[in-house]
Amino acid sequence: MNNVVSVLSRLITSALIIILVAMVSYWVLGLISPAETHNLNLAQYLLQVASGDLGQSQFYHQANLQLVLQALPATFELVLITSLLVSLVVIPLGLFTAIAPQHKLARSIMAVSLMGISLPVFLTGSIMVYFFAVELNWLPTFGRGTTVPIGSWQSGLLTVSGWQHIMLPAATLSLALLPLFLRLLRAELLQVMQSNPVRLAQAMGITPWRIWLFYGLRNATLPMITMAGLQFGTLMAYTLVAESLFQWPGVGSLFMQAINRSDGPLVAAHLILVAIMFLSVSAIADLAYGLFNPHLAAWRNR
Amino acid sequence: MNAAQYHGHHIWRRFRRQQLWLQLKANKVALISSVILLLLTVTALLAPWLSPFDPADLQQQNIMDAELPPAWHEQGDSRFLLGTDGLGRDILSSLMHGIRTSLWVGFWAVLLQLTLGTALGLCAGYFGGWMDRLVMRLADFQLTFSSLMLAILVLAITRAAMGAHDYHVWSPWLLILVLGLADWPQYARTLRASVLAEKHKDYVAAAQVLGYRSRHIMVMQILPNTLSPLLVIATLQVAHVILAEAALSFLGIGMPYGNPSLGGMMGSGFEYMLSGLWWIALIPGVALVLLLLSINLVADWLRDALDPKNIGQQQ
Repeated sequence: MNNVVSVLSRLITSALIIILVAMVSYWVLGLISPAETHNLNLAQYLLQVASGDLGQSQFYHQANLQLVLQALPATFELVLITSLLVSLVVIPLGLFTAIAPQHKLARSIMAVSLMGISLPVFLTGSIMVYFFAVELNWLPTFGRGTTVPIGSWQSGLLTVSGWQHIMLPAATLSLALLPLFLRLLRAELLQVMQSNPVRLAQAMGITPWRIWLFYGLRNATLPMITMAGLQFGTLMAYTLVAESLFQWPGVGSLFMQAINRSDGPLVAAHLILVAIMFLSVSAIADLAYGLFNPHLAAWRNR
Repeated sequence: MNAAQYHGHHIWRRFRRQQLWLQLKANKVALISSVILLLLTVTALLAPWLSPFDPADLQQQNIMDAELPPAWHEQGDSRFLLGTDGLGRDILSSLMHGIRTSLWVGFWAVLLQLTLGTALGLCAGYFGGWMDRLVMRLADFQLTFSSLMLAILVLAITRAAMGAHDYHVWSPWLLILVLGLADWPQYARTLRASVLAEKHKDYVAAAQVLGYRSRHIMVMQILPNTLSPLLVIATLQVAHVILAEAALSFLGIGMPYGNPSLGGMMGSGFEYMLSGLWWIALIPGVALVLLLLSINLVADWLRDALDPKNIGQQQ
């Protein structure tokens, strides 16, 4: 019963937020392209949005929804590769710095990560471009390279040129996120390692590796998920900056182009879609939290 | 002297008694970073008098001087210590004015955040009830959405609506307003927690019994006791605001092109970098990192120095 109420209240809040955002986006549409709202009042606009019609771009003369959906695979693949890179680096480094906090190497890793927080994403991007693209001429600096369609999904992960193109943007974005997640994982692991279950496990003679991976890492995953959900706005802003730096043809670039061309309908559509994405991510983060949290799992199975 | 006054002035008392200064002298990293920060601030404040050229003066620009590398480079020109940009402007002068811009935006935006966050946090903590729930709910929402994303959306939309020319007349003020209004939740949350801890103490009860108004109790009695964490957050936030300003200017929706800012310089320098002219974009980048790092390290030290646990050990 409690579940049903909380799900219902969540749905109602989400619907209210989307209606509110749709009203704001109508206002924005009128601000940027007054001609568009001339023959369309707020009620008509809301009905249109509710029926899934987000209007037509002034520049492309295509449906906005379609434009955003076309740009989505690029952003999604960039985010996917970035999160893989971040996890690949953060998990071993986090474990090491938490297990041997006094080790020289661990301390220098943490010092570097403190500096990394002060490194803006566009500066790391610029430096990487200078070294890998201009000086060494190894990697391309803009675009996605050759893409292969999988159904309606244009994937760049199946071609060599696609991988070459994703390298710099994904590495840049990962470097920007690494310090944040490394510090979080280390702090969580340090805390978990002091907890009673871990001490008991140590006393029982369970091998250290098993403790680190199954006791430490598993328990530290939870706050990481919450953190990623809570930081979603920042993650999105970083992705937008990286996309416009590397002219990555994703949603962020599409938005900045719409701004530069004063394409009102496309900007308004972006607002609504960002709101929807936001609400879904926070719902997914909550669900994932439930799945990974043994307390909640036990409560569910009861 | 009542308890509130006693605690409220303890930061100043400790400055006077030179305890903070001694702590600073003992901490090498903090000392170096505060010296760097001081130097940068003085340079920024004196930029109009110190800088060799005036970046806003078109008379002093010569396109023949464009794209000159720094002076230590063999093709460098001794007039331009850090080289020139694509329009022949001296990078050192733009840099000094850019740091000035960053600190200026940082200062005013943080002042605005501090005011808003303090007011909301005090009210939420002191009155509780629906006010508390509303403020904390708004804070969650704002934190998740992130101030940078909000600033990008608001500024980008304003730019699209006003057109690039009109927009850049207003953008410095708009920047301060958006960054100032968007980043209040950290202050409010911290302050609320402190107020909840303070409001059941005897001196608050005494003030209530004496019939002081809520506003007086909140501002004159409780607030002075909760200043230390606010000071630390405000210092950190200056770095945060400067970073956000740089990112927005880099995207072309922050400071106007004529108005030198570190992010804007990096944005316009990026294209030159693709043809090998690294200094136009990277020198402002290094300055930005230096500024952010020194502020972050000073804030880090301030947090430790003002922590009551450490104060106990010192005395």
